[in-house]
Amino acid sequence: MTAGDRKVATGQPHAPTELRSADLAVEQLYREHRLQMVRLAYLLLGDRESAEDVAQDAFAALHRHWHRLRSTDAAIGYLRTATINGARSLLRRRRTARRYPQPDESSLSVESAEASSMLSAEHREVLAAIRRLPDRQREVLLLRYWSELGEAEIARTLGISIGAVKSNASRGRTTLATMLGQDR
Amino acid sequence: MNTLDSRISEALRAQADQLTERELTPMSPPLGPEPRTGWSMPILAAAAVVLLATGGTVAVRAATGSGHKPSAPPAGPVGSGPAPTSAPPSTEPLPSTVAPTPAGSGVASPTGTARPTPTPTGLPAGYLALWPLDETGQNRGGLPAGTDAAGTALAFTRQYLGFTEIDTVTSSRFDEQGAHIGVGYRDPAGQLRTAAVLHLLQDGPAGGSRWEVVGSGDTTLTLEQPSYGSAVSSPMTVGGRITGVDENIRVTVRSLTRGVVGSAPGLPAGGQSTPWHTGVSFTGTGVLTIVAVTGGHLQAVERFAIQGVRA
Repeated sequence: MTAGDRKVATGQPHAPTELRSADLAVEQLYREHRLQMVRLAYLLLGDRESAEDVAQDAFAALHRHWHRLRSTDAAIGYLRTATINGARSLLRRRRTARRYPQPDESSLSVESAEASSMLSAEHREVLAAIRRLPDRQREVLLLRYWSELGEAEIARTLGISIGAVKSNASRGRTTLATMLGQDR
Repeated sequence: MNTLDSRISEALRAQADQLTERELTPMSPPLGPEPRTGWSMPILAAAAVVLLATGGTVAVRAATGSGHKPSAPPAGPVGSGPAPTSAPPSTEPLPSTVAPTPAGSGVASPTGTARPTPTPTGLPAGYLALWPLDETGQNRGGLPAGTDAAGTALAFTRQYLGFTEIDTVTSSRFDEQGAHIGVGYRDPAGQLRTAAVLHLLQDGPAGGSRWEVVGSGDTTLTLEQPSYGSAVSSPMTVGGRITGVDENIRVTVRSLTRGVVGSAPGLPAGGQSTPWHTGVSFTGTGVLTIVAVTGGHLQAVERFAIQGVRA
């Protein structure tokens, strides 16, 4: 039984060809982009397990909403947005949970603390400064410097205006420069 | 001196590159169906019957050692047991680490494809019948015959262990080693969380046979000491490894006939694959199930692991 057949058997209210196409497409996207999405969540959350969960949920949401996508090309953007939203939601819950530390503390997660020992002192310093930024500034900088997205794409991913992208990026850079003692 | 831009880029890349494909937990694409409309639920139920038939066939083939391996794990719940209210994505946590050896040997064997010779209990030699059958073959759990692997896993978790917050099957995978059923819950944000992956075997020939819980596949909370199937006496040291923040591990020892026969107070723990251990006194003999639980962040039971031993 193929994945497409399996979906047909469950009686989803879609045409079989559409379902088969969705299954195959999401499977392919999963193979090609799962690591990228887990890494994106990992940069925001700091621990692998949570990052994997968030990425998995993002792919599940993509599959559920596949028929609403305008095009296959939009899938990557959808995944990126869902991953960031999932990570942000998890961070918010961590902050409100009594036992969790604040995310601006260097020990956001135990795994990140251990993993950081594998990084150079230079990288640790920069990453610690990034973790102290407000969520939105951190997300904008991450999409700009790691995902290498343009301002318009960052705006679409985060659901904000290009002006907001620019201001958040500027404020984030200024704060980082101050914290790192470097000229902008 | 590098520019600020290059410092940011390089630091982020260095952290992201710490995660490689090899380190990720093996999972399948989450293609599980989601309930959407009222009329879809009866159809889903009917589909579950179809999946029960096909899944059962696959499992029986696997159990008979024919070498057949399903090309893809079933998506979502596989049968009509105490089914979850929604069909979850078919995530696949790491394969079971139970991999038992003959009881009493105390040494875990590597995961292989050959299945041991069946014992009088109906299970292959080396496996312990934890629930619903006891080692004599009596249905102590009271689970109706014909309950599928997913239903058995959920019933074990909710009825026998009493973890009623765990109400969803998060994954199901069938291979030569049996069924590996993820059980878990949806957190307040609606995200699926796997509390444990239970390992089940079909304890007899097709038709009239039932699924038996024999262990769990552990990832971020493991129960490694005592080893699976080993002979234990009271008091015993129970331990494993845990990954997490501010955890509190509770350990109980259960007998299928007598309920909880031992427990240990909460053990603060946390870290990345950090060893933990505690002492537990217990009473009773026969097959016992050691249960390690942690939680308290979102709900009382967020993760658990089990280990079968013989006293």
